[in-house]
Amino acid sequence: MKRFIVPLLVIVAAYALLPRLFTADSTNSILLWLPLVLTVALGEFLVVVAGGIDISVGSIMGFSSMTVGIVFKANPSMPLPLAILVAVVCGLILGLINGALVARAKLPPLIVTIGTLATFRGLAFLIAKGETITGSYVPDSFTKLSNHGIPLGEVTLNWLAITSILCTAAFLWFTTNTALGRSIFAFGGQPEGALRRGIAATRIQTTVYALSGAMAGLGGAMYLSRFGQAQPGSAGSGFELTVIATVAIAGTKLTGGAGSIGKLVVAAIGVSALNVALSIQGISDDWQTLVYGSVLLVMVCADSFRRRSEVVV
Amino acid sequence: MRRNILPGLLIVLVAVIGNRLSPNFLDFAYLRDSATLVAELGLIAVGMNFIITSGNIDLSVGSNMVLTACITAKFMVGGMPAPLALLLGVGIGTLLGWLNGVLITYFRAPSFLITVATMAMYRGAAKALLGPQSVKAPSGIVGIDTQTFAGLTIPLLILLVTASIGAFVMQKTIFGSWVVAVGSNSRTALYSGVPVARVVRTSYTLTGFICGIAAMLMLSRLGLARHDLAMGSELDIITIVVVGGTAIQGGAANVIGSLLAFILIALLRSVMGVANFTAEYQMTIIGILLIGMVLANRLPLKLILQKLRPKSQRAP
Repeated sequence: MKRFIVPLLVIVAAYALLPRLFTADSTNSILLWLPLVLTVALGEFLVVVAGGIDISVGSIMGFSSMTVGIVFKANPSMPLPLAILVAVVCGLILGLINGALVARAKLPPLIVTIGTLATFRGLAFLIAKGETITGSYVPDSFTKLSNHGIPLGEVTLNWLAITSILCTAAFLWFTTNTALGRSIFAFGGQPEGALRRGIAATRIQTTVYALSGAMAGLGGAMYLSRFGQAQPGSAGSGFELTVIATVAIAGTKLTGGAGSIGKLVVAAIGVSALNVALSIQGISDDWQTLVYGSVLLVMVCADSFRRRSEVVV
Repeated sequence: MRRNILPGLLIVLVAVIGNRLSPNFLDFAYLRDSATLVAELGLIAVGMNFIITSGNIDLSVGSNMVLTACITAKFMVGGMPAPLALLLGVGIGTLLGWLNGVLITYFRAPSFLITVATMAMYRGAAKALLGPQSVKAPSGIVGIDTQTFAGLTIPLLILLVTASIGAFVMQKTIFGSWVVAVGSNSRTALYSGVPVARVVRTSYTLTGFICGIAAMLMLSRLGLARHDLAMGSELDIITIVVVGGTAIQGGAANVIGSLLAFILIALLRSVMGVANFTAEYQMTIIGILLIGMVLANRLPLKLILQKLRPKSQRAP
């Protein structure tokens, strides 16, 4: 329980900031944010555990939401699972590009994803020809995924939230029950040691960036479903900060090697609650960047401080 | 010297493309004025050279510049005399850079994580301070970019001087050697008596100082400050440093190369402007250039050159 204290603290802080969060309406708003944050954070979590970083997730979300929008525009009666598949595949392909540059060409992850952050955003513009996907292109059945689902009293557990919970379960299974999933932790903790034990760096890095891309792609579809429209310039823009902050709040070792998906879920709930609390409280968008930046800074410093004596310089 | 060949070739290529697009492209005054628009980026790239060479990175430079410009503009509107406000601005930039350095060295934290956080914080603080409005700078300080001296605009002259000082410091002073030593192997440097933490801190403070100067130049050029200026400028700055031939993993610097790379970026930006590329496409091209250059630097150039030689001349 003690280990959950930081992510729980964020939830407490959000509810202290706004007691009204206890109402069913606010809980529903939190459930609108949670799937987005949790889904994309799962992918980022694996990348961070493997000792990397992916700051291109926001742009991947933008690209995949534009792609899904365009597919719907061309064929409004397309089955929803197919649309979601399109989003995931889009993300997967972009993630594989990141993975190839990091794993095969051995480039520093930060530089690669700064470059692809810009490149993928441009691709989003290119594919949409700079136009906005307006609400009229997105079928009602698709937007209903974000506000219909399993009713639990006054609270509705929407389909997107259910999807993100299923993803969490899949990630939990992947990281605990498969050799590849477990070796991600080993590799992130000590790359050299892992290599000597016969763990293939290329395979792990490619996998984590591809998965991060796929989850960001799914997140893009969720974005389109939740907001009902998407602009090539702003869809998912800046979301990488929210996601990295979530991973940091979850107490994930930021230099790789350790972290828990349980804590990630709690952190994602905390961040979603904070998001809702900040916006209901009338604390404008203007302050949110500052809040997230400060929270991230505190987490990075705390994470490093604990291991300060292990690092020589 | 060989490291400067690629940026040089790219400059020629971009210039030829520009000349194709518009017959008047290679007009000196036009090129000078369009380079002045991005002079701040080149300026900050000089500081970034020290940070990257020491094996670190700074993503917060653009946010630092914007926050500094916003605070200074606020003070000027509040009635502070311009010379004092300008000095204060440079001070604020230095302070923000120093803060990065202190956080990184005290907590021994990875620099990219600290500066991702401060990037958001500085930009967020500027947003919180001004909201959606912009603040006008007093007319007395506006327009430094239109004044010329010896054929160049003042911002370009400042860039030229700063880059020369930067190259001198990097190559001819103890501090420069320390920066390279820390970047090539920080543990060895520490055991050889290099004050590693101080070197890193000084590099960040220096970059903050340059960000302060750049912020004042930007304020004077635009005549206003707003929270969403210079978005994504860290991409341009890092690209300038990498294209200039400074090793991204640290330990090898090329400040003069960065000056060449600055010319390339300035040309590229104005060519893309002539070709009516939107801001997002411009960003994309710069992103591709960054990845392409990092990739090109990874190529085993020596091996390829050896393969190209006739068999009889190959080294055994």
